[in-house]
Amino acid sequence: MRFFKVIKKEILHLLHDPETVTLMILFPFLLTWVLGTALGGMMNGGTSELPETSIPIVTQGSMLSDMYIKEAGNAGIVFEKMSKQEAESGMDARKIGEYVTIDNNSITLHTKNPNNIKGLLVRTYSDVFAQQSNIIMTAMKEGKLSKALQGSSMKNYVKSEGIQGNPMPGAIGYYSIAMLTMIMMYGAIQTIEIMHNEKEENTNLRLKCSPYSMNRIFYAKVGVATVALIVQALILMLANTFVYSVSYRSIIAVLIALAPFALFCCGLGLIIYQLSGANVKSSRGIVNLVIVLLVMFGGGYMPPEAMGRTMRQLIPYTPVGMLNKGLIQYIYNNNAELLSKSALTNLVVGLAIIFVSYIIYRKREGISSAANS
Amino acid sequence: MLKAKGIVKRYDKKLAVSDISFQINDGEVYGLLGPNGAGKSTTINVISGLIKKDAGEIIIGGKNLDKNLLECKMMLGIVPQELAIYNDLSAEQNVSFFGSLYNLSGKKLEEQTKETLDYVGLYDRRKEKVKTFSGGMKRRLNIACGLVHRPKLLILDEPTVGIDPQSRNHIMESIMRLNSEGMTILYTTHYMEEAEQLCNRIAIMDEGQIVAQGTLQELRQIIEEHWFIKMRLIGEVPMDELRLIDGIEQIDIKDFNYRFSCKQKKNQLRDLLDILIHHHVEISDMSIDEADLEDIFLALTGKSLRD
Repeated sequence: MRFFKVIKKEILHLLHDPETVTLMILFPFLLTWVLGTALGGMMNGGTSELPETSIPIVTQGSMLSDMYIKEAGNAGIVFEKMSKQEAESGMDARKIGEYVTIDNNSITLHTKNPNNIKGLLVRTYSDVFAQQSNIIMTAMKEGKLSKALQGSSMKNYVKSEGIQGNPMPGAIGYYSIAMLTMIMMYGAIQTIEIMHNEKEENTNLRLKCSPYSMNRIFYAKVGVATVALIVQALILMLANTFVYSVSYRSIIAVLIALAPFALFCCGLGLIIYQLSGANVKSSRGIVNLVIVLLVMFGGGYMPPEAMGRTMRQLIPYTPVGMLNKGLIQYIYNNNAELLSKSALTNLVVGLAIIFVSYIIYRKREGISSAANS
Repeated sequence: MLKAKGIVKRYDKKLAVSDISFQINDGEVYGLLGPNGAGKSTTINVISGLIKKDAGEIIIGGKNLDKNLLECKMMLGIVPQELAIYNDLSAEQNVSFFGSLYNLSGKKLEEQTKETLDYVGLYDRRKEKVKTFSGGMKRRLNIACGLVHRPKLLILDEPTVGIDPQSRNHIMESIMRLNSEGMTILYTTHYMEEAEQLCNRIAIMDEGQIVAQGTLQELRQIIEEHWFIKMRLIGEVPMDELRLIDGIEQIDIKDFNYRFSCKQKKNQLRDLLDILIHHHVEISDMSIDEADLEDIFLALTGKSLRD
């Protein structure tokens, strides 16, 4: 009974922050669309039925800006060229809400409300474009892309790689997997918040004075964080299925495979939080960095096929890369071998780091077994 | 209700609580009075099982704390010095959650949550999130969360720090009401007025030790030879001459108010009046007082409570 009360309380905490919950779902959903459509040309697939977004752009005209405008079309963003004066007066007169300027050095979004969806789309597309351009420029410098670009576009260059020659997901399909695992990683931060809440509110004193076991409170928190992550993954999968017509083959099977990963993500947040001395700021910073690295080395931002050889070889051995590849093999080739391996690895590693976190937690909180029997 | 014997607690090399012993009888309000850093909170944390003591024995309701920790915890209600409530939950959710940790459930939990919220005057606002509450309301909720399971011994650690007079009065009244209904209370404060108003017996703590304990009357006897003359003086006061009067130990001045600390009943009052009349100083008000807790504390430790 008391255990359920603790669980209920943790759920209430989560639900009382609807903005974060919504963002956790909406953000990857939008990112899937933006990345999927933006890179759809590169990956030979991925269409979207979402309405186009129109936005003014101020440009002097260059190869880079032409490419930026052209590729945006794939992402469902239509840029309308206008002069800087027109754009500024339009903003002043509230006829336009935002506009973009681009030159050879920078892409700038001018907006009065940087958090609206239009702004988010353009920012995300610009980030992806900048990353893509950097990769292309680097490859061109190394002479690897020149041949491919002589023909039609970079589309052919990337397309020829494939995943081991097997059927491949389209861009939307790929990112609906990559964004799913990426957003689950951010569950590590959610876990830190759940653990830190008691310290922040001083309620850990009251909990420790109560006859209820602090160990069970720990388990309840880990359980809620893990289940919340699985629920978020489920919502995202359903949204992707209904809106983008993405197929996960079996949502239940994918969810079962993702559960150990959810545990791993929570464990990651926990261990970093405990090792940082329960310092929420530094642990959040470290987790953010670790997530970016894990997602990057797991092919979350860019498909392995668009990366260098070393990265392509490395990706299957990283936790996120292994899971992403396992999911792709399961969904597109009905081969669950790698996915099972990934689930088992995540389960073992996840449990191990949660156990270590628990030991540190007990020591820090001064919990004796007698006090919590 | 509570017996603490020879309690010692060290933090590294610093002795936070040094061999203190005291007893709280059933239905009593027992005050721990002392300045910040005296060891009051450490003592409370040891009693509530929050931190381990290095030596000594604690018996709560006849049970040894070390051997019966869970049973002892069931008998205690804690109101920490810092607010310990969930800001993003409602008042009702807070009280109900903390009640459930003490094995309350179903109808009983519901009833006791309602009664407790009513007790601290927050029933009408039970559905509102705590983050919308004023500081005083949060303090009252903080008390409610420690009360909901009807503890036998309620421990309040400076519950009135930093709140408005209205909420302070409300809290004081609630505590008196709880005590009149038979609840035993351990109350720490560095406000002597609160200790005088609430407590049946008081322990004065300083530097981790209990320097004196007893009823207010018993404590006064410790410095029974001390008495105080208070005067409001207008005119040029001959301080040098006043200081030379035999038996006056200290003179405190605030605006036109003079407080003469006297030791042993000699002829200080007559001498004072002689000098003041001789110098044509107007005496607009005068009283002779007994020692209060501040005086007792000063006499015992040589420093002020608010140092």
